[in-house]
Amino acid sequence: MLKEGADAAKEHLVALHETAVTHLKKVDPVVLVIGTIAGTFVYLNTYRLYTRSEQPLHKRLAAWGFQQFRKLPAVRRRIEQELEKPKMEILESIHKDDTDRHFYAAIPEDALSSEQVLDLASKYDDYGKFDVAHGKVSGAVYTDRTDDHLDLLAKVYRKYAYSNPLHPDVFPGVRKMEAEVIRMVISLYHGPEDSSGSMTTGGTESIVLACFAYRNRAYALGNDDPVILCPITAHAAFDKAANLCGMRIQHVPVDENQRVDVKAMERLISRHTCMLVGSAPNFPSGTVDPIPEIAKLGVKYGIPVHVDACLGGFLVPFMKEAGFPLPVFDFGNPGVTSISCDTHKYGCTPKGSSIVMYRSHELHHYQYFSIPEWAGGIYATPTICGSRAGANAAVAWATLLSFGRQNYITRCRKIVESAKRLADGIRLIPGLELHGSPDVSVVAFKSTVFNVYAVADRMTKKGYSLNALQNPDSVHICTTFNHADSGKIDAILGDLRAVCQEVNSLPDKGNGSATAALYGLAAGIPDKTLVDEMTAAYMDACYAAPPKH
Amino acid sequence: MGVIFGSRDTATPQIVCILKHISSAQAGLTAAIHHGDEDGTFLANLPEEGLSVEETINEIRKYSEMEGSDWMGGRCSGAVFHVEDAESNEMQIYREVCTHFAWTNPLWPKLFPGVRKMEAEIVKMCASLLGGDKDTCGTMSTGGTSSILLACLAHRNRALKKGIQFPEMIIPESAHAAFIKAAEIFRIKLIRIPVDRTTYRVDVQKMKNAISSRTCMLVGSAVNFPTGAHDEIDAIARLGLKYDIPVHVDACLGGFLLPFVVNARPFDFRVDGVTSMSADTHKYGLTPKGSSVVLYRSKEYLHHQYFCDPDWQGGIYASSTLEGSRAGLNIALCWASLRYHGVAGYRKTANAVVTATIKLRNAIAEISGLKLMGDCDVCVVGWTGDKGINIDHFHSLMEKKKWGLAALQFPSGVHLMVTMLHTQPGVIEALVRDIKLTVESMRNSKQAIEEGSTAALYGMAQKIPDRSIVHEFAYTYLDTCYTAPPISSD
Repeated sequence: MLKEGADAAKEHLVALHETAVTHLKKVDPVVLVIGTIAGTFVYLNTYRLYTRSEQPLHKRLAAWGFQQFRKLPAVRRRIEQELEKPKMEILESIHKDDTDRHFYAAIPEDALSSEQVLDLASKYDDYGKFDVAHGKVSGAVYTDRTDDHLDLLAKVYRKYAYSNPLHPDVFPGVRKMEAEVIRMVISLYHGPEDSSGSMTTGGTESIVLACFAYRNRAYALGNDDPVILCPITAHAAFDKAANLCGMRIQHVPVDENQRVDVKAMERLISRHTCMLVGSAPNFPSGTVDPIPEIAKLGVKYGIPVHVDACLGGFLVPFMKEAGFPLPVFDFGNPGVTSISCDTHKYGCTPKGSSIVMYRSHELHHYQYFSIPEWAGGIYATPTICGSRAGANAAVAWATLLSFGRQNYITRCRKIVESAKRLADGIRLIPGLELHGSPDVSVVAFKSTVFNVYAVADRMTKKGYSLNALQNPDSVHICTTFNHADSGKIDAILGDLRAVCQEVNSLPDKGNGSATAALYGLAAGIPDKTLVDEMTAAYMDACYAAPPKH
Repeated sequence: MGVIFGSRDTATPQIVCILKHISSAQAGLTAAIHHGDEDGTFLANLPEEGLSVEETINEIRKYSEMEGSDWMGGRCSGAVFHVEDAESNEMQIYREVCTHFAWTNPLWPKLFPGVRKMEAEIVKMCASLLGGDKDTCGTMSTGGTSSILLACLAHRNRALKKGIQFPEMIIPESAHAAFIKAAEIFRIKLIRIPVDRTTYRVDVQKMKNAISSRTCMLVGSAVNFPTGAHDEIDAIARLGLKYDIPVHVDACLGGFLLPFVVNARPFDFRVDGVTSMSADTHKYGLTPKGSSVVLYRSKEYLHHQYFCDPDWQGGIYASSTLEGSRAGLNIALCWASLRYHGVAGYRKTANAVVTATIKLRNAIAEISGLKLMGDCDVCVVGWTGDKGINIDHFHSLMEKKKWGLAALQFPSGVHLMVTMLHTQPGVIEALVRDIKLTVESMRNSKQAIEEGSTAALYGMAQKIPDRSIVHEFAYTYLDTCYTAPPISSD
């Protein structure tokens, strides 16, 4: 029976083959060859074009159409005219604190004395101070900057200003400090014996390096089109990494609590997936992704899992002892293969240090870079930089030692308690609702009643600096040790309540405020290159000489 | 990390022999890296309670005493560019600046307007120094490698935008390793052009032949790291203009020297066709480590370096360099340093460095048995062996005399990068004396190179056909830098 079936199938195949051959014989072989080549070419290019972006086709077409439309001379002139004013406003807003409007565009011919340099430097330091110490600023400065700490840093700095870990033979001390900082952080995350890591200049570099390592691993395994799979709430550094390293990135939706939808993540896994990402916590809403479930996916499909703990890097390892247990997010979870953790946030070290760590040396080696043939000698570096500031490692080392674990636990408890107090207070403000679950130190809120960006703008007028989020419109406050006081939190809540009332009583419900207008505009334009242009104008303004009055 | 030091021997390229050498060299490396760290402690955990300021300072002292090689005496090539004196006015400034700017971060220009302005001014000051005009723009970065990476990224993105799917970059084989790193990270195809074997400048004719419709940038160095040769920037720039390809000049080394060298060949924005430059402030700009600038002729090029994620949930995200958060402190220090030294200070530095370089070059030119590699007239003097002198052997003997020269390969050689430390009285004279003695002793007796020295590996590495072995070796070296010393407690 089985044999008969097989024979019949075979006969059918033979017949099919014959029909195909007789038809193909009618075609000119040259046409056939050219057609095959052209077909392959068209297929590959279409595939490349199609996979270049995650956007659905109709949105991409709309963007393309808008771009072409913008190229028309009349339209271009009009847009340029329209953009003139916002560009000037950007320039003005960047330079508004620059009181003297003087700009040094050339190195002075003769040296200034130390007093002159220091006088100038402290003038710059005084430009437009936000009141960080009274908790007016979201994130940005995570420690209270005590005199003792500053004194220590200055002393350490003096010894290490010119040190450079690129030359471990010349600077063995700073090399050891760096090695110890890495190991101390890995210990916090329960790294197994074979674990290994690098010190970088910041969270973005740590994330870029992890993506770079997994890209190289994918190449080594024969996957020549590696894809990063991350929650839409993951840090922008993953997008940046994809852009830099020539990888593709796919974003996974999140649930109503802003936690990644693990089922959707599993559906998006393909043979091209080179890494899965979870945040602990994420930047926008401060929510911790379900790391154990993501790690399970990683184990099931043999895909590395990166946990981005840049923001909460020096909070989450202490949460358990501080009384706020979290699901296992570190190397204690067998699926987690790498973690990024910023020491320069809640680790309270000066800006310019972060750690990326891997479960094994094997994974870490994909991040290393070496050129055996370089004319200048065998060249090898562990991170993106070549020469590096040894002082950054030395001050981080000194900070970790002078703080100690118990101090970090205490700080963690105070910070998380303040965040909870803030979240509870926001729940009670009419018109506001929480955005996502404030699991650690960030509290995000949105509103269905009025425009929440207007709230942020008005808080700025009161001396605050809050972060605007988008998709959906929302705002967050990242609490730091400068907020770790119930009085400060109550003051914020009082101001926030008053501002919300004001905005709610506005006839346009705040839709006319500057940030609201900006984000409204950005959301309304199909062609995002226009947004790129505005952000480029913003960054140009940062490097421009101040406008004269 | 960096260039793995050492010299070479004449091992037969047989795999067993190679592996034996590698394992003995590894043992040598481990010992060398952990040299001076004899008490065997390694802090692998945060202390339970924080240390006091005094305790921390005491701990720090142990580490700063480890800083081994006698670099202050000028016995090392490159690495430290400035005579450092902990009690000088300059260090007082840095200490003060450190307390004001330790937590500043230019990612938030509105929170830290001062440090933002400082960065803008540094970029403009460097642009003015390098012949830029009012359109010249750029950003700071953490070092030469970052600056070079950023320029390559910008030119790659520009090519992608123009519809070139697989951009290629053309660099001299003597260009800095950072270009090769950029090619790997950013997926740019790399074409390396050989240098002329007498001048050690890139062969511009060969560069021209390599240009195709996919070329996204041409590169020249002023000056290059291995031999200090100054590529013919004007000729490369002409190619760039002719074929409409951006030209990057890597002036990481020469940026703060060449502007003050009388009769230096043109190398900066005054040359038509030069579209971008990298210059290290933390080398001959004498600023503390961690600062460099990348400059572009106009915003059109710079904008391709910017990164923007308009859809990010955390707000419209834009960053101008590779990093997101950045150390404002490095910027403030660089700014203070530039103001403090002034043009006059840099002119003095450049004169001193170039004079010392030429003194060393002239001395070596007269030594029979050594041969200079190119002009060597700015800040690097490279030389190789001649008339039966084995340069690898020479290098290992110099190492024994505590001179930290850097090894070159393809072709074999050594170099000294002259810094302010070498301009101290008597340093060059002492070096020349030891070089002469070493060459003399090599002529008189046939000694063999020490087995298993870190040096032994180096030359052998050039003969291994399977380059992945060398990669692996380099990785082991990096790993060793981050491990606990061999006998560990704690």
